[in-house]
Amino acid sequence: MESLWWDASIWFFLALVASLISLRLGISAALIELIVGVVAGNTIHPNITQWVTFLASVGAVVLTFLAGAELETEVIKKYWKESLVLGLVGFLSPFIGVWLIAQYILGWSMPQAQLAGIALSTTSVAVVYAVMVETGLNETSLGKLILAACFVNDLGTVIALGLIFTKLGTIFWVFVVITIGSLFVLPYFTRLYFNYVKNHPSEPEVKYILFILFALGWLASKAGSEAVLPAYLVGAVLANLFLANRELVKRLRASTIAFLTPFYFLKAGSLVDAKAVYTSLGLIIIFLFIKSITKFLGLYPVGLVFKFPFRTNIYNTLLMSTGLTFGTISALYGLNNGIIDRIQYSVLVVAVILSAIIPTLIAQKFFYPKKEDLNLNKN
Amino acid sequence: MFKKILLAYDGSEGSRLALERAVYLTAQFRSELFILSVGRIPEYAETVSETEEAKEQANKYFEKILQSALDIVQESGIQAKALIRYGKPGDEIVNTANEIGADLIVLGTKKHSSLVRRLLGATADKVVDNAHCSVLVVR
Repeated sequence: MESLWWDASIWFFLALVASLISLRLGISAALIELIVGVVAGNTIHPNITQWVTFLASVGAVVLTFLAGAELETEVIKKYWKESLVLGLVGFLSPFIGVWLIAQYILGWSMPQAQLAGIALSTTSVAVVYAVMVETGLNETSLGKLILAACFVNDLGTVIALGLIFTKLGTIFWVFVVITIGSLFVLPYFTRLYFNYVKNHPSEPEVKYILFILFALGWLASKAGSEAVLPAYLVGAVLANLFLANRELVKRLRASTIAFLTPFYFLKAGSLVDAKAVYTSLGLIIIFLFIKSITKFLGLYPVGLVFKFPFRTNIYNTLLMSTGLTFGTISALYGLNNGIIDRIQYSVLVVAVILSAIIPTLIAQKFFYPKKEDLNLNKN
Repeated sequence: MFKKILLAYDGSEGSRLALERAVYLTAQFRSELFILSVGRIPEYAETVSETEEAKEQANKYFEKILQSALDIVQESGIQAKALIRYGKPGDEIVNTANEIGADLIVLGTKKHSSLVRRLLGATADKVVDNAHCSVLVVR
C-alpha cells in the first residue's frame, strides 16, 4: 500500500510539473506530458504498475470518446462529399505510403510497417481546431469542412487500428454485431436515460458513459481489437446529445484531463527510449517526411478537384498532416501487443509529436489563406 | 498624427500605465482608440472542448477587464472600441493592428529575467520586431 501512494505521488508530481509548464508556455498539457514523460522515463524511471496501465488505458479510451463526441454532424451532412473524399485520402495516402516504404525500403515486417502507417495516417481535429480559433477560420465554411475531413481521417485510423491486427473469429463477429447494434440503439436509449436522470449530482450520465465504454472495450479486447474503436464510434453517434449538453462534456473532460490522460501521456512518453531517439534521428525525419509528402500527394490533387485556391489547398494539406493523440495511441497499441519494439515505438512517437508541431507552424507562418478566400466561404 | 491607436491591455500594472498614455495620446490627436485583449488558447490541444473552454474562460476574464478599461476611458470623455482575440499575444497584437489599420500600438511591459526573455521572448519584443506601424512601449 505504501508503494502505491509513493508511485501515485511520483506520477502526479510529473503531471503537476507538466501542467505548470503548459500554463507558462501556453501549450496543451498533453504535449508537455508526453515530453515530461520522455524525460522522466529516461532519468527517474517512474514505476509503470498495473494500475498506471489501467488508468492510462481508460484515459486513452475516454479521450477518444470525447474526440468522437465533438463531431458536428450537421457539418458532415453539409459537406459530406468533400469531407469524405478528403478524409479518406488523408488517411489512405499516408497509411499506404508509410506502410510500403517501411516494409520495402526500411525493412520493417508487414505488421510493423502497417502499424507505422496507422500511427502516421492520423490528423488531429483538436490541434487543427486550436490553430483555426487563433485565426477565426473555425467560423468559416472552409474551416468547418477541414475539421469534418479531419474527423473522417481519424475515423479511418481508428477503424484500421481496430481491425487490421484482429483475427476474424467468432468473437470478432460477435463484437462487430454488438457494436453495430449498440450504435443504432444508443442515441435513442441515451436520450431517454439522460432525460430520466437529469443531471443528478451523483453523475449518473458519466457513470453510464464509462459503463458503455468499458463493456464495449472489454468486448473489443476479447475480439483482439482495440477499445478505442468502439469509443470513437459511440462518441460520434452520441455527438448531437453531447453538443446539446455542454456542461456534461465539461465535467467529463475535467475529470479525464485531471486524473486519467496525464497517466496516458506520461506513460506513453516514459516508454520512449532517448538513446533510440538519438541514434534514429534520421529515421524519425524520414518518417515525418514520408507522412508529410504522402499527405500532400494525396490531398493536394483532391483540393484541386474541389477548386481550393493555392494557399488554401496547401494550408489544408499541412493542417491535415498534424497528429497527436491517435498517433501515440496506435504506437502504444503496437508496443503493448508486441507488434513493434521499443526502438520502433520511440521513433514513431517522436515522429508523431513532431507532426503535431512542424506542419502547423509552417501552415500558420507561410500559407494562411487569403482573406478573400475566407470571406467567400463565410456562412 | 495618429489616426488609429491600438492599446494592448491585459489588466496588468504595465498595461494600466499604457492605458493612461493611450488615453492621453487619443485626446491629443483626436484619434480612434481600440483596446485589445488576447486570450491564450492552448496550442496542440487534446480536445476541441479544451480550446472552447479556454476561449470561454478568456472571454469571461477579459470582458470584465476591458469593461473597467472602457470605464476609465469614458471618464476622460473618449470613446473606445474593445476587442478580444485568441492566440499568442505578440502575433495577435500585430495581426489586429494590421487588420484595423492602426498607426500606433501602445503596450506596457513586464520585467523578465534575461533567461526567460531569451527562451520565451517578451510580447513587447515581438510586437516591436513585427509591427508595420509605430510602437510605444510604456514603462
